[in-house]
Order: sequence, then structure tokens, then C-alpha cells
Amino acid sequence: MDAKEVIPTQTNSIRDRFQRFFFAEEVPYGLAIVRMLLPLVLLGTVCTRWPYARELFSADGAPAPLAEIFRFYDFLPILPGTIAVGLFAALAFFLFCSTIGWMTRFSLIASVTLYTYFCFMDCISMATKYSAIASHVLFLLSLSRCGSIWSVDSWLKGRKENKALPLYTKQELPRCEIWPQRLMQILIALIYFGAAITKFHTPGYLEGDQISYWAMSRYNNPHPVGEFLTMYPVLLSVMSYVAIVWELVFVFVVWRKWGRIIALALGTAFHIGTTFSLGLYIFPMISISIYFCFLTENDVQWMSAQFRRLARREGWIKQTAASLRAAIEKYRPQPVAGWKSPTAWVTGIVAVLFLSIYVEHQQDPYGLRRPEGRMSLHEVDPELMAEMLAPEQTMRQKDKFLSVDTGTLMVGGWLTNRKSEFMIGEMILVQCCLNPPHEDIWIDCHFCEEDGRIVHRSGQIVVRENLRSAFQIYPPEALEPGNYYVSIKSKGKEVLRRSVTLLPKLSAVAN
Amino acid sequence: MRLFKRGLTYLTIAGYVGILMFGILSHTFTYQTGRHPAMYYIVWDMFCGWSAYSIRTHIIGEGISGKYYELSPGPWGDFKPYGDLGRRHYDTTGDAWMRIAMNTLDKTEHEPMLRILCIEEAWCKKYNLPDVVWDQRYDQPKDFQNYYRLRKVITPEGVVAQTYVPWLTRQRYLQINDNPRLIADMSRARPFFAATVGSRVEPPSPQHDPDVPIHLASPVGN
Repeated sequence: MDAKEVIPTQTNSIRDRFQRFFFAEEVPYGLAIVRMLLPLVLLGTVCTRWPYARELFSADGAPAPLAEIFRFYDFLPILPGTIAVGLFAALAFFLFCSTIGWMTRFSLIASVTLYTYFCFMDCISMATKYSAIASHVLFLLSLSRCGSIWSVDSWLKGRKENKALPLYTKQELPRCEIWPQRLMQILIALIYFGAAITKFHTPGYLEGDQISYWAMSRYNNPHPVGEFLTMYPVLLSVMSYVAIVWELVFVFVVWRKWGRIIALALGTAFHIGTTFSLGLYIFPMISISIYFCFLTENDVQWMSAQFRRLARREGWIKQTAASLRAAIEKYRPQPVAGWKSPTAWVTGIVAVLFLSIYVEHQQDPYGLRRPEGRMSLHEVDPELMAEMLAPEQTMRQKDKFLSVDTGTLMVGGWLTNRKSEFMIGEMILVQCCLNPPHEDIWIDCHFCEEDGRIVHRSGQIVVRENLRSAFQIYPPEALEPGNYYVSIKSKGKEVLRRSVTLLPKLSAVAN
Repeated sequence: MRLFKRGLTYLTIAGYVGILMFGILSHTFTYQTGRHPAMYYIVWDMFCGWSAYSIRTHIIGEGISGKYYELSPGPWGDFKPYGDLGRRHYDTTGDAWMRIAMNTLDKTEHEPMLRILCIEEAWCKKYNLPDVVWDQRYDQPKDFQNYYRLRKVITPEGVVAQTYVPWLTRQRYLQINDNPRLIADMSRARPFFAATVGSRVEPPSPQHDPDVPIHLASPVGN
């Protein structure tokens, strides 16, 4: 037995804790999974953009350099069209190689360099915060030994080692210092912390207004759940609070077992939720794929033990695993010399470069080499143009108002039990929501009979920083049951209306 | 060699965490967040604010015949990066409009152009709600109204001749100016003539939507 294991040498000093935190050695299971998933997701985004690479990223198109938004002109060179197309295809190749772990470190370095460059070239449709996160993660992966397991590199290396070792020796998986994994974990924690700070800076976030407007927007993919949730703003407000608290505490709780499980489970639910409520697809995929950096060696060993136990119980799993292993062995290529893999990799890059340039040239995206000549422009409808160039229109009053709702209960500044039927004598709460920006505005709230006769009128000033106002209406007991409506007026015009039904008051029955 | 390697590792860890912390502090105290393009990679301002209005962009060329032509999307089609919208709609600052227009003119057959117009279209987001949700939330039918605003006029040579503030910023000004006392104070305090050489009679108008930080190009987090 090693003396180190008999005599405890580790103390709880800050230095030792720091050493253990950053320099403990583990099999890089988590990083290997991140390496497989993240470049795969990015590969999807690169493949969809490749047919437009000339237009988006090159001097032969309409790039939108990120640096110009910061007023740094000519920060990076804008490449000629053909080179940009070739390099963008090469980026796809490098991402694919990173995923399968072929020449892993070189592929990752090339991926992070090219991916960041292309993001810098198109801030409109390539650079987003998910691409910034992805650049960080690719950089950290390139510092790690994430290709030492579950990769083509390890497969080739393992085969060579297997040949050298006697049959009875068991091959151990490589272990390495976990500091790149720790940096990735710190990155995720600080991203969430920063995102929470952003939310603190964003007016109307905690009230749910901002999320509500986002759910109404159509900048992202379809998100029917989000549109439905706009009817329940108090729910959006609660979710906003949960999200901000989770983002703030993530950095503090994620290092311990249960804290990690809860924080990651909430994170996964949060990101999947953004798919359905906000129409985000790529961001959740990136976020969830990098969560695997929190996977430890112990977790994998535990899962492996569970799987083995299950396999012992269920014979078919064991058989399937065995047949899979046999299939892998069957297709294992003959031993190759060490130089052949890098040579094949370089050949692959050259082939991808030339093939992509050739295919793009054949496609002729701008139609410059068509037999019938260049494409002609589409004419715009003159009526539409007249509408566009008409004198400035004043914003309608009704467009300054979002909605009017009636109910009886308010929570967190929102009407929670929206309803249209009330007992005579029951208080009716009317909540009127406004769109920002609006001036200091006087709002009239009229409670009217079906034929338009005003039964009750009230009004109030809503200052520009407020987005909601509430009115209380007490229908007099003298009113007849029936249909009424609440009319919201501004500058003398009705902007919103809500139908209300008054029901007869139930009296105690003498029995 | 081992010591050197360990030293380099320490340096990498300290440097990386230091840069991330700088980004957090810079963002928290809004200190130099737009100082350098690299700040985009350390300032985590996802979800930076959404307005109540949907905004779309039209880039149109006016030919010498008086006809108008669509310059974006080009006749070869449109790239839709995050959903159903074309790329131009995600350019919130409008910095790329000129390049987009010039690229289309450069690659197509067309009559000589007089000018290029960049027009913003806006409408209230509540009209985006699907009918099922609308019917539950509103008693009246949708009464859709869109507003247009000229943002830029560009010459056929690619020189920006005129620039105007975004529609949303304009609305904000109109609503702030809807205050006679404020207008009177402003008029009293503003000299009729420029008092000193180089002074401006009117303050420069911001060119960007105040809801969208200058360093954020894309409004999506997709």
C-alpha cells in the first residue's frame, strides 16, 4: 500500500482545498460528453449557414462585423468570398472531428478560432450569447484532455497499447487534472450570476412584463405555450422570481451533491421551458450539453454499476451489449502507423476545402453565371410604398393600452382570478395594463349598462413609469342582473372594453 | 519543466477567472461594457429588455423611373437565422443595412438608383397573439395598425445621407415632450443663436433604441 494512503497528508488549509479543487485527478468523463455534444450542436448551426456563407461572412456579401458595433472598424480582416466559404466548411469539419474525437486538440483549437472569427463577422445572425458561451467552452475543451476517452484518438491509441500489453493486464482509463473542468463549471456559474445581474437591471422583469412581451414577440421559433402564458402574467412573475433566485444561488450551491442535483435539475427545466415558452432551440441545447461538465468520476461509476446490475437482471441487455461490442470489434480497422491518422485528417481538411468551394461555385448563390443573366430586383407594391412614405402617423391611443381585465383578487400587482360574472354588490376589480412608452395619462373607467348608459365612473392618472392601474367598482344593489360592460377611455375615446355579467345576489334560505 | 507547466496552469486559472470576474463587475456597475468587442464575450446580458412593439425593417431602392425595388431579401432568397424572420430584421442598430443594400445592387440587374430607403415598421405586440388567445383576452376584434418610419437614406454610391432615430425612440421623445412646462423650460434655456463656435443648438439625438444596449446586436438568445 502506498504510504500516502496510510499517513493522511491532506489538511483543510486553503492551499490544500485549492489544490484538491483544481488539481485532483479524474477520468474526464464529463468533458468527453461535452466534447461530443457541444460541437455537434454547433455543427447544426454551421451547416444551416453554409449555403449563405459568402453573403454572411465575406467581403463578397454583406457581413455585419461585431467590432463595428463597438466602433472598432477594420478590427478583423473580412475574407474574400471563396476563402470564407472554404473556411466555413472547414469549421464544420473541425466541429465534426471534435465530436468524434479525431485529432481532438487540433480540431478544437481550429474550431474555437474559426467559430469565434465567423461570429465576429456576423453579429446579426451568428453572434449571440450562446455562441459566446460556446466559444468559451471550446477554448476550455482545447486546454483539457477531453479526447483521452470515448474518442477516435483513444480508440487508435488503445489499440496500439492493447497490442503491447499482455492479455491479462487490464487497461486503465487515463486520469488528468480537473482544472479545465472546474473552469468550465465556474464559467457556467458566473454566466448565470451575470444573467441575474442583467435581470436586476431590466425594469419590469420581476413583474413579468418583460417575459410577457418576449412571449408575444416573433423573433424566435414558434412558442405557443408562451403565448398562452401571457394570459397568466402572475405566473410569469413567479417564474421570473424563481429564475433570478436560481441564477443567483447557482454559484454557491452547485459544488455540493444535493445542491448540484437541484441546481442542474432546475436549470434543465428552465432551459427546456424556454424552448416552449420563448421559442429558443439552440440555447437550451448548448446549455444542457455543457451541464455534463458537472459529471464526476463517481457519478459515472455509480451509473455504470447500476447498468451492470440491470444487465445481470435483464439478460437481453447483456446480450445487446455483447453484440454491440462484437460489432465494434468486427469493424475495427487493421493497425495503422502513427503518422497515418494525422495525414488522413489533413487530407480530410484539404478535401473539404476544395469540395466546398467547388460545390458553392456550382450552386452560384447570387445567380451571376446563369445563362439568362443576373437576377432582377423585385418591385415593391406602389400602394405599400405610399403607405410607408406617408407623413408620420401619430400613435393611436388604443395602441398604448395592452389589456383590460376584471376580477376580484390581486396578487403581486396582477389580477389573478380573471372573470366576467359577478354578484350584485360584489366588488369588481378592473385592471388596465398599458404598453411602454406612454406619457402621463388620464384614464377613465366607465361601468355601463348594455345600452351604453353609464352607471359608475371613475378615473385616475397613470404616470409614465407605471404600466398598470386598477379601479374598484361596487355595483349598487339597485342594479338589475344582466349584461354590463367596463369601458376604458383615454382622451375621450374608448380604447378597451370588457363585458361583465351581474348575477342576482343569493339570499339566505329559511328552512 | 514540471514547475513551469504548473506555473502556467496557475496563470491560466487566475487569468481566466480574473477576466470572467472583470466581466461580471463591469456589467454589474455598467463600467466600460462597450469598451472593446471582447467585452461581448464576458458580459452576460442575455435578456436585455424587450419593447411592447414588434419592429421590422424594409430596405428599398428607388429607381430613376420612380419604381421601388426590394433590396433585402435579395432575389436569391433570405437567410432566416432564428425562426421565420429574415436576417435584416435582427439588425437592431441598422449598421449593416447599407452593406446589405449595396450587396444586392452589386449582384443584380437593375435600372440606375436614385436613393436607398431604410424604413422601419412597427406595431403593437398584442396583435401578434394567436386568435385563440386573443378571443379569451379581448372582447373586440383585432384592429391592427402599423407605423412606418424612415430611418436612413443612402445614396447609390453607398453614402448615408440622412439618419433618423428609431420609431420607438421617437415615440419616447414625443411622450416626454407632451409636457408644456418642460417644453417652456427647454425653450427658455436654449439660446436662439449658437453662443460659441462649435456649440450645438440642439443636443445630438441618440441613434439607438434606449431599450437595446449598443453592444447587443442580436435581440435573440436562440
